[in-house]
Amino acid sequence: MNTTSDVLRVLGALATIVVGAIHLQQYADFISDVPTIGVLFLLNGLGAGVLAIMLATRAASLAAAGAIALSAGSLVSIAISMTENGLFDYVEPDFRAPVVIAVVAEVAAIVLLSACLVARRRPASAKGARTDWSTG
Amino acid sequence: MVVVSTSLKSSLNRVVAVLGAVLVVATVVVFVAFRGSDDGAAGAQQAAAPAEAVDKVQIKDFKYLPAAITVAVGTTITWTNGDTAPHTATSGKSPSPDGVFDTDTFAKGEMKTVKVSKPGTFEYYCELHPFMQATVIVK
Repeated sequence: MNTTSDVLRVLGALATIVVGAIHLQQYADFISDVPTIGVLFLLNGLGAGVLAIMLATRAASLAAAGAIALSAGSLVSIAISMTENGLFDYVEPDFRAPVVIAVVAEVAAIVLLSACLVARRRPASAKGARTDWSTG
Repeated sequence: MVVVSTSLKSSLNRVVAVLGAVLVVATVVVFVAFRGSDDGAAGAQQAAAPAEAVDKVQIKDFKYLPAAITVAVGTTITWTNGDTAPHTATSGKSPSPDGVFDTDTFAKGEMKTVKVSKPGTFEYYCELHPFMQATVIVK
């Protein structure tokens, strides 16, 4: 495990937590009353929490892939909800602040965790000999 | 060069794990809390189902309350949006408005009025959230 992938993993985990927290906040605000979408928001929050925990364990690669899928799915869902027919009859009328924060966090999670996975696949020879974190 | 020790790395892992655990617990707590409130909302809607002789409709938690109202010809009906999300009250059945009335989009706290000028039973819905449906009976 190298320094770069660890930094990317932690930042990606934090972005994933933000994604889940925003979905949970929106669920508590009003989305809980929207059929189907409400349940999906709740599952997003739960899934993001579980994946964040997994990102702190040895199953980080699997968790990173899962978190990327979660964020990508959320992004696609937002895009569909902004079309005329919406997603499960729910139309997102504009870029409200929570939507903007969610999109930024989702893009950040995808970029950071994708880079983390790439960094983890680097050949062993490219990794530093030391096992601690170094920046400079 | 700044060296970040393995103990700090472990600490960051713990922070991530704790934040993730907090999110999981918060999700469960919110689910339990809102599951209870949903039951109450469903009960309120069921109680409001019969057509009532009122000319004011509240929008709350993605529901028109009451879901059915009865008014006289010439009555001005007022919709008040008590939700965070914007809504409309558009006559017809989604996705086909029939053109009898349409409030257009109105935001939280805003009111829209429509004067009904002919008798009949008019179903209406929210164009932004078509699962929201209700009825106006004009006599």
